[in-house]
Amino acid sequence: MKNRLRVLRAEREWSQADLAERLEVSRQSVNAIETGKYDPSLPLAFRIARLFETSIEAIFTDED
Amino acid sequence: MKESEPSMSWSQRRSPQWLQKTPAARRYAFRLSWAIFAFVVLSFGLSYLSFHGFHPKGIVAYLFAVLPAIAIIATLVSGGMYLGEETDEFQRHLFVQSILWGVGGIMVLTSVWGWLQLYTHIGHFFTIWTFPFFLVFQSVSWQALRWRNR
Repeated sequence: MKNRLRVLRAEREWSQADLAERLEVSRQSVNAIETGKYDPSLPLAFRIARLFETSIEAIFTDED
Repeated sequence: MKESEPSMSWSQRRSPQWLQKTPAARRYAFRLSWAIFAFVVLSFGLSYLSFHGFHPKGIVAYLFAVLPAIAIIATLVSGGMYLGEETDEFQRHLFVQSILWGVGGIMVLTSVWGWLQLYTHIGHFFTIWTFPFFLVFQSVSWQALRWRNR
């Protein structure tokens, strides 16, 4: 699953650690999601969407 | 009574970021250390007593024989508690993956050993080594997975 997490994070000039702190997860989790190694659960995807004030679909797409 | 929180040690603060543990992982490491310590003490304690002529009979023999298993159960319980307490789902995912590596590793080892026992003169594999080997496979793969996803 592709995502725009890195772009959204860069727009706010947040580091992975900054985003991890806001989401209350480890920096490794943010890195794994950004690089597509790990797809977040629905609750975490909602948390990410809420943080960026957008919808889940605007961040995650099911394209390969 | 609330369990005391193992604080981040000096070595943890100084260690690379990927080696730093979540609070739940620190509690797991703390509990696991005690369980392993108990396992070693009970195993070697029983061997020592046995070596020095302590050979209980009947139900007492059974009770003494399964004592180290209590420590093994404690390590499994601490793993289960970690999965319950870890709020970071990716870290949970890595831990579950490491358990699969541990199970896979011990199954391969015991299967290969079993076939070697059948057709070669290799020594007998004592089943009491199954759990320690599983724990080694699981722990090594957990750190390897954490390093790969650093």
